[in-house]
Amino acid sequence: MDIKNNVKKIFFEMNLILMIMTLLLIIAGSVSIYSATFSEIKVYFFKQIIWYVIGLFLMFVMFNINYNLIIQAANYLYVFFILILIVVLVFGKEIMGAQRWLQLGWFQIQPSEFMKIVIPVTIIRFILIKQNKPFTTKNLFKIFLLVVIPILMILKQPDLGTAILLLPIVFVILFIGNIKIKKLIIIFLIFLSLLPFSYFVLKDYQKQRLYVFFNPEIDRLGAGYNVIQSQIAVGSGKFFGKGWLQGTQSQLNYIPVKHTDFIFAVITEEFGFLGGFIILFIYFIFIMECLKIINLCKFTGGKMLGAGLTTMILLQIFINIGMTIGIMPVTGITLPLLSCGGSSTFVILISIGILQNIYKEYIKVEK
Amino acid sequence: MKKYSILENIKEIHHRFLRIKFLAWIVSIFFFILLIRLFYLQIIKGDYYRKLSQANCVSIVKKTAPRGHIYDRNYSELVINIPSFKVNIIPFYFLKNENFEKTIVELANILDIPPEDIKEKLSKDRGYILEPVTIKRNLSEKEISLIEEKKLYIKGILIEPEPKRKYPFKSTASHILGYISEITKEQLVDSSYKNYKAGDIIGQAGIEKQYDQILRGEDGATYILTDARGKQIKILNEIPFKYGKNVVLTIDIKLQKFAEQLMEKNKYKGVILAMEPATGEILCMVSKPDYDLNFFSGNIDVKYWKKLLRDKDHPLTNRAVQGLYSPGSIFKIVVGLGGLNEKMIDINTSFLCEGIYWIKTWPYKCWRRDGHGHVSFFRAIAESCDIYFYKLGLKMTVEMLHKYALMFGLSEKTNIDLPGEKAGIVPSREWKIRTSNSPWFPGNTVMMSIGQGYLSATPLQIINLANAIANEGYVMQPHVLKAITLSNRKIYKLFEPIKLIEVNIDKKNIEYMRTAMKRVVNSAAGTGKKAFISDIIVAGKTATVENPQGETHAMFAGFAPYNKPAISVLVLIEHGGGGGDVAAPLAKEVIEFYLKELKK
Repeated sequence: MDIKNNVKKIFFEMNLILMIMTLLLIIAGSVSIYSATFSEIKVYFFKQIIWYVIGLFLMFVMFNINYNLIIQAANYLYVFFILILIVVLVFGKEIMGAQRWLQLGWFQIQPSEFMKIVIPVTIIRFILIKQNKPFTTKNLFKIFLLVVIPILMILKQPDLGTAILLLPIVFVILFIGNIKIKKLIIIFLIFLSLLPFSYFVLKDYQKQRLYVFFNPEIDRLGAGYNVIQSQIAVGSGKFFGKGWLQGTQSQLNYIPVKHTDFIFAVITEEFGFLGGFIILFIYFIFIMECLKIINLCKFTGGKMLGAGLTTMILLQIFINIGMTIGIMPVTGITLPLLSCGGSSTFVILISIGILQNIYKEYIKVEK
Repeated sequence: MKKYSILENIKEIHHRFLRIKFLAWIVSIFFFILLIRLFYLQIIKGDYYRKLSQANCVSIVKKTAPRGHIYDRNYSELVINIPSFKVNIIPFYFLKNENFEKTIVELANILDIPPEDIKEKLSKDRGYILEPVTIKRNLSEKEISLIEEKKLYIKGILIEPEPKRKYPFKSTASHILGYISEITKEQLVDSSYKNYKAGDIIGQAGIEKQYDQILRGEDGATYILTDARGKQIKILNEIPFKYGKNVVLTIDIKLQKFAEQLMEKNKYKGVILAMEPATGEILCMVSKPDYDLNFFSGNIDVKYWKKLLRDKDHPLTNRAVQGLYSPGSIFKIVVGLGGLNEKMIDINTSFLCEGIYWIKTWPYKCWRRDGHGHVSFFRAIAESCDIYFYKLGLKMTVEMLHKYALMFGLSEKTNIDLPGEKAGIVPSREWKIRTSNSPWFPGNTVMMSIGQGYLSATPLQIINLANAIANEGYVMQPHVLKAITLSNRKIYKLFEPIKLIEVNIDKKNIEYMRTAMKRVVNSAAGTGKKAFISDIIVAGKTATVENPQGETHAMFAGFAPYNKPAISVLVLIEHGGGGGDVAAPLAKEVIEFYLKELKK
């Protein structure tokens, strides 16, 4: 009786639409990762199932921790993860020319992924502390420092994708924090004017990716290869796709890193426009539900946190799919819940857990 | 104060609501962009990308069919295949080499070709990922060993065997045989070559071009499903190649060689043509100057090719079918027969030749300045009196000359099975008005009646004048193909002789012409008596053709033996001098060699 009540309570307090969308994405992810790793590396599929299970567990944990506690603990988290980033830079494991991973026993974690939660939480706490006038120039400069230090460390790894992702997240948090639009535009312009200088920070292979983005034909078998092969895969799916496990581009390895970065190419090759449309539709409902939760939430902190996390998920969707279909440059950003990978799965499911908790707190208040 | 705070709060909440709404719009726009792009790629461009994805994973390994051999009429090998080697690059692997740019330069040095050529070939679009590019054919042993060395540490270089043409008789009969080379860029866009693909080796001249479809056989291919690393997954389909069929020519290579040596000995430019009148088979076809086939075997020697193109003597032109000459006095066969047939003359009608003939103030000379006196038909032909034919021609008028010239096949292609044949010109009144906008003068008729002036014909058409007389009124279709055989020498197809021309002239008159042509060689005053052979009766006609470039062309057309002609010959020596002095003796040698040495 007690257990039944508990389950009932959980379902009552949980946003069901968000939960259903999450489960649908996990199912779609399992199906497509199975196909992507079918021809050789089946071990990834089983690993991913484990990640999903652990991730769902973490989601339930976060669902039951009041998000305000996380905001309060932000400073400790911030310092802790900065230290971990330093450790990564010193002892990190190098994979494909980037030093992003920490070896923990039999699996690796990618701490920069977790910064996508820690940094938003930190600046939200800062904004909440400066209750009356959070957006003075002095405070904004402090926020800037809080953000820039970890970004530089992440860039050093280098993990351009994650670093780029962090800036819009911060913008949206400020935006929902009710910063004056004028100020936001000024900040935006300052960053825009700094953008050309970032070119000097980019590594050669990153520059190459940018050139290739603007003209994949310049290097058909080199850097442009990924972009072209991915588009061929997507386009050749036509309306109904080639069928599960039947995609020639996927199964014959013409798509690079197909189980992680280019998983969407596998889906659209094998399930066609129909499959791609369904995935986009699920994501759309998912994001809209997140926005609904943010809107329902009565507290500035919750709104900002929810908005930050939603922005993160949205941008990952847009950048990853965009790169697969050739409207975004290639960066190592994963597709939420569909790409294979432990850290990214955890971060997304933790974020969903936090969003669910924001909803739960709202339900409590309503009562 | 408190009231204000609440108001402020409500305002703030409203602001947030608007901002979240704004975010919702942004989200919608993002998803809309993705959907539109997805629609574009999968629905609008779906077919295009589906094709690309298929081309991507199927590699086609071409198996070139060995080209058929070419034999002469006695089955002597004229063109055969021997193994050679070419170097291929598979760009997919090759471009993965570190500093491949440097490797290109090294390769270019070994192969002695400009590095830009290799770069250009590598940059071309390919149908599937593993498609190889041929960099150089016909490698020397040294090149092979140097590249074998390189292959050890460079990916994507292959040395592959390939049959190459060999010419056992060296450059003999080069104009008939022709050469082969890789299909050119211009040919690839030409619709008449639409069945060929880039990289195909095709015949570019002579028999190799004419019978390319028969000689080339059918290429085979293996379709292999390949993954992105170039690993073979499975063989989808295998099409075996079909051997090219062999071609047997009517040419007698011994006669061809003999005739070529006759020309070379005297450094003559011109044509020696020999045929079998009864069948139309070409026994030999010499066109000098010619070119050396061995420079075309494997890679075309560029320097040699440019030299050939620059040469003012046009060694690439097969004069026998592509050269146009005035037939000169040989045309008198046509005029004489026309006159007899139209009953303008009979064999006893005589004209007075005083060595010169005046039309108003224009003098027209006979080659014999002191004149032939009173000349009748047989002497006019045998001694080639010009004034007899001036007068006859004027009597017949240009219309009739035109009619009989056409009857003998002039200005009409013979459709011999060699490429590039010319048709020649038989002038007429309206032709002259059309081309030069001036009327026909009696002087034009005079020139035409001795085969000069605007009249032009190929040596092949000229020899057909002799063939018509040899055959007593018809001409067979000239051809060089005797048979097509399979690789086991079984006959696949025989060439059936066809009649090309049937001359509508009384047999009796043709008999007169035969007799007259016999006298050309066999009478004491005959212009062609240097073609006389003691135990074989030769008949023929000489011509000494005036031309603006200089010394006269020497010509002789004839046949032998008189009673049952087995060979007809045309000798044309450019700027050689008199037909009787220069051409007739060569014709004699060709006839004698053929009838005495080759036919026993």
